[in-house]
Amino acid sequence: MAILHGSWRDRESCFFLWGETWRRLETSVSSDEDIADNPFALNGRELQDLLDRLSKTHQLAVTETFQPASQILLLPSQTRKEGDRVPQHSAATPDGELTLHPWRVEGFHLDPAQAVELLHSLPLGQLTESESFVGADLQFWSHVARWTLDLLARGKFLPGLAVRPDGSLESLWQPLLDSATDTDRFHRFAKQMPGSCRAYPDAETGVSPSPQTLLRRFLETFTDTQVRQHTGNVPLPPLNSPVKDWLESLSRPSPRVNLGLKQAEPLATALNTWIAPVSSALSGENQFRTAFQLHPPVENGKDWRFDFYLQAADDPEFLVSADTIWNHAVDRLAVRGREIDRPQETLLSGLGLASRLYPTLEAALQTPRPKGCDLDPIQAYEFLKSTRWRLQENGLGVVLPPNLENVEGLSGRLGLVVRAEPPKKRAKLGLKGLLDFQWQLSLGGKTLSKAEFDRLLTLGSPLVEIDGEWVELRMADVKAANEFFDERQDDLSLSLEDALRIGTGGDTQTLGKLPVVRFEASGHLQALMDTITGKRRLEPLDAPQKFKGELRPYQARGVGWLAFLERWGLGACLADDMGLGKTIQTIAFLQHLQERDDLDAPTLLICPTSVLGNWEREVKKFGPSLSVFVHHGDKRPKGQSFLKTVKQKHLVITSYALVHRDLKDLQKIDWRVVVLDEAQNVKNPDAKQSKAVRQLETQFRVALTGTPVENRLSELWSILDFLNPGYLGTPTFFKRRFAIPIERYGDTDSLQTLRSLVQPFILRRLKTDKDIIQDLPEKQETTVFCSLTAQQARRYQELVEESMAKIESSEGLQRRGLVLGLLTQLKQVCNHPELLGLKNRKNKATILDRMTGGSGKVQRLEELLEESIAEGDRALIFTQFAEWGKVLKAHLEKRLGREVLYLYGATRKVQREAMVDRFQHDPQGPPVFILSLKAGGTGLNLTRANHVFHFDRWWNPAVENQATDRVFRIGQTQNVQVHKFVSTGTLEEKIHDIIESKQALAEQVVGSGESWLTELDTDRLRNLLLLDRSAIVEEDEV
Amino acid sequence: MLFFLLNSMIYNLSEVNSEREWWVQQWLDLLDKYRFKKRLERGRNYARKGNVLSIDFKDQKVLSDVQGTEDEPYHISLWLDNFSNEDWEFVINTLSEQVIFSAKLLAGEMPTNIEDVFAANGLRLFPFSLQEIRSRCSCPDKANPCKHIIAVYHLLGDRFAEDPFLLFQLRGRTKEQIIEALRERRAGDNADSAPVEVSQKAEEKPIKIETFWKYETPLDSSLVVVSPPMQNETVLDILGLIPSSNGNGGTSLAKQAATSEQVRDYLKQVYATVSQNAISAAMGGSLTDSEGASTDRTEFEVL
Repeated sequence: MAILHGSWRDRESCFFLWGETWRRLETSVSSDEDIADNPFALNGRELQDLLDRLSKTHQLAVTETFQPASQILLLPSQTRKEGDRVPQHSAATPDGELTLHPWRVEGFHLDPAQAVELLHSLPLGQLTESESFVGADLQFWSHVARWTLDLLARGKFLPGLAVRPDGSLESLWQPLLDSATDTDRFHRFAKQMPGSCRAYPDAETGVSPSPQTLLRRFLETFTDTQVRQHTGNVPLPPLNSPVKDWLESLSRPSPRVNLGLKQAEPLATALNTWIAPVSSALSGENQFRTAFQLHPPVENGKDWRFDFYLQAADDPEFLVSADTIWNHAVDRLAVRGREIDRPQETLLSGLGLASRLYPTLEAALQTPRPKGCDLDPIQAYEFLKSTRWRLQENGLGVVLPPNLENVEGLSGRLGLVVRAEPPKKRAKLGLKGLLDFQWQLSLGGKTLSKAEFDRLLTLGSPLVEIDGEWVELRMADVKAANEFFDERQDDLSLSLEDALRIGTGGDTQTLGKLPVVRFEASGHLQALMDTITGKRRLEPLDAPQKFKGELRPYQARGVGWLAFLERWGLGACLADDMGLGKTIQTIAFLQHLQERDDLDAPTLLICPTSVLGNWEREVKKFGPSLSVFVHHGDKRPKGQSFLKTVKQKHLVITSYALVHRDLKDLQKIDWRVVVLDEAQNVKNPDAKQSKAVRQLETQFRVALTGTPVENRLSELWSILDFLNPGYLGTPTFFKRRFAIPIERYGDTDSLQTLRSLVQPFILRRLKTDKDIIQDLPEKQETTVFCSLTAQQARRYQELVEESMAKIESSEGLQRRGLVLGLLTQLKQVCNHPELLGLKNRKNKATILDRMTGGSGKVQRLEELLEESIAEGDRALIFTQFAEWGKVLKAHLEKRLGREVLYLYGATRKVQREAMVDRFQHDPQGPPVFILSLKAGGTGLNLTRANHVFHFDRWWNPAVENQATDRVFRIGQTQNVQVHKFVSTGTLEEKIHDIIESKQALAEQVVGSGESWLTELDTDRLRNLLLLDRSAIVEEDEV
Repeated sequence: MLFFLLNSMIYNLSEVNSEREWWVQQWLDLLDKYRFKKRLERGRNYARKGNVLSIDFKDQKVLSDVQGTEDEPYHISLWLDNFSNEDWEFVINTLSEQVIFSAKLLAGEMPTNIEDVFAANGLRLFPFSLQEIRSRCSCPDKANPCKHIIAVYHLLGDRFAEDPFLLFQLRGRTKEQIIEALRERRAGDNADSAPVEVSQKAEEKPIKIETFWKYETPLDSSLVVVSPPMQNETVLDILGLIPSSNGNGGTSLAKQAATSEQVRDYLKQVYATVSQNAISAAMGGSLTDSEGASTDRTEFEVL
């Protein structure tokens, strides 16, 4: 994917748009003399193609009529060893010394109207890396463009009339940045403007405009353009020239006013007069503004103090007192490194404007050198509640002392302090379970008795001081509090769910109309609150006695966490990164229940079909004390026989497809735990399997997933709603409150609220986390057991039967040949049944149609790749079959929607180098690289990958390790995960077992490659090759 | 039982909004008292038709050219009796006693009680009668004021609206002189008027390479939801009417005021339309489901 860039070009009055993609740099690209073309820039056609594509995929507002243009840009560049210079790709991590250097770039000139449309159609939030086609510069302008909409909505603009240098007249709409909000935004945006926005040196002066100038010009142009677009069809009143001409022109796209200078002069004068009170905000020269600071009464006093200052527009803390101003009868005053123009007059005109907005001030201005005035409590209250906003909105500053800033906030409000504890009897509480609680009235962080509260009311002030903090007594709160004392407090109830919302600081919570300002948990509820809010570290749980293996420290904490939430009956989502061992944490947790004698009913584990075998194996290996039953296959028990089978088991494993189909039977059991593995399978809440899993009865629900669930909101809702039904509200509520603000506008406040709401139920550790990484080996090998599909199994068995007959009747070289041939064919079937003879088949479309459905390995590969790509990882896939590499590449490209690289024997040297270079260096390059074991197993350096998949096996660890070492070598900074695929029930599994068992045979295997197989006698060979029927998988699921 | 009223802050904007500035009105009222109504009407016609070619303030005088019936325009000068330096000292002393005078004047407004300042010193800022306005015209008409003078006089009202300090200038002190004098009074004994060293030029803003491709700031939360102005009040309400601009169409006062109001009403509608359109554009424009469009932050109720 390429990246779009662009910035405002003031001199040309246009927005320059260009595109960037990573390319391999062949030769020296920049000599010192001429300005070279930026090698990473898209040419005009490529850019148009990209825009066309984005207009379809991301609804980008693109027209065909953008004007082609070329620009010189100053870009950070690096001098390479070869002595030539290259620009830094915008998404690359910079290394080495960079200097700004001019480059020529092709692109488009957008007129302001086109630019407005384009910028508003860009996504405002940060996209995932693979999707981020918006460069920093463009993202910045899209945010500024959004600000212009805000200015328009708030009426922060003014009409004007300007004379152009040629004497012609133009009408204009100017942005009015008078309010504190907008001046703050102006300074903030100017500060945050990335250098790339200013990469365009002026053709004449060679200087780049300052951020302030560029920002202001952008705002002016875009305000003018958009107001004209939005004036609509308001009918013009019958007026005479020149007012009529002026107003008419203001609602047309073209600013030209057909008036002579002489005719227009009175109008211009009138307009100047009209805007005089805000002219400094329009010219952008308001370096200082008049500001007011409110001080609470000093001891025992009643009156508030209201002082006058000049305040720096870009630094609210830079205040100059009125006294200082009055003392200096000067045109320019230097104060603490700054210079104030006409200080007295600036202060005075601000006071004049303020007295218009706030007539109370007039009295204070009837002295020669006023420094401020006194306000009584009511006036102070009114000022805080309304006047201050009005002043700030009109270009005046307001400063409040820190102990007044919370006056609007929750902490200062009259509210309740609630103390809660779980009910005495120790049953699993669950989300809806009710807590025992007491409450007290609180104001400004202090609890109040009824008497104290009544005394406060008699003071008659809307603002009261509590321990040095000023707080507001809101009418509505006071009323609610009185009712609280009077009536039905007994009707109130507090569920664990309420407690969690309040305790995690989600959205404001109220109890009987009063806000809960503090929540105190006692008893073991406190442990719960502390743990879920992260105040208390997770207690690691010792591995159960019968657990065969070792728990790494973070895994022991994970098991502890599951056990902890289980005690409360709260559903848990274990979302650790791939490779961190969610499976063994789950097994250890179940054994922990068993050890506690608390595994009184069977547990149901639901997973994708492709990992059924893997689960069964892992349970047998790590948790042999758990009796397992895999519920699948056409001979699976139904009805009574199902109940009978299942009741004796600790763990029942089944697939998502069967949950829906066998729901009636599954519902008859009161499960101890229901576990969803690869829980993203229920991401669509309306899918049959998602509905089915919600209908299962259980005491405790667990979801396992390796995808970054917090970033996929609909998935998050669906999983959480399975775990803790109703906790995130209805889908409609969730969409309105969270999904739209976060996904469409990148609203960080909503995101924060959502995070704190779900955080108690999600444990996600990343393999890059500091305290995880030290627990992990640098290279981690796992065997991935994949089931065969029914078609695979059928083909496998046919092959074995056909060939064994021939082998039995042959000898010597012929027999050897037959055995080796059979081995190859069986391995192909394990990859995909149609891989047999694929080379000679013309039409390869049939296999592509049935890739996922036809092969257990492909299913598993897709799942693992999706997870790793979502985490920003990169992967190598090794295969020994060149044909297979081709179809796999085609399939994965379609499936992942991304380019996939493929290198094999026939790849030419130049292409080979290009691919490797691209994989290693293109910041947005393809994350998946398929290599044939022979062609790619040696020599290459592919350290950017941190996953290696051995899709099919060459039973020679030396060869496999050599391939793995493409990744695991100098330059590798990440932990590497090696996934070795094995089809269950086949020779692959049996050979795997032999190697693992470390029998004498294993040494033979390791030493000789595959030739030892040809030495086996026919019976042993048959035993080795014969398919274990129980490993077959349903096919009808995908 | 509770004790305070929230709504005592009702701003009376109508005063600012709907009428001419009071000092302009007072000036024009003087003219209306003129006995010779026909001449008055002819003068206004001149003003309306653009016969007044220029109005300049030169020192304490108004100099103007008015196109009459002859080819060459007539030259008009107009002035008031100047206050003596001593009088001005007193006036400025009085002005300096209350900062509100300067504050209002600098905010483009003539303080309503300005006449008190002059009265305290036995003076009047505004002429009491037409006779106090001295004028001369190069036309053959012996009557004073002639229609040319009346035309100029009429248009002066706009200039006063634009800059209330002009009245002071006619009495002998420019805005700069008054400002300067007031500054000194305010500074008093503490006066520290040492010239300030001229600070360096606007600092050069070099492009930073480290942040050249970096903008990781999320959208400002306050820009997520784009909303209409507070209390539906815009700058139009603050600024009030656009002063009459009918320099060459000086119709009746009533009509001028009507024009200003029409413009104001038109602009108000434009502002409201622009606001609505911008809000809907910010919601994604094409977004049709009203449920998606709203991003309310109601309190999280137990569902």
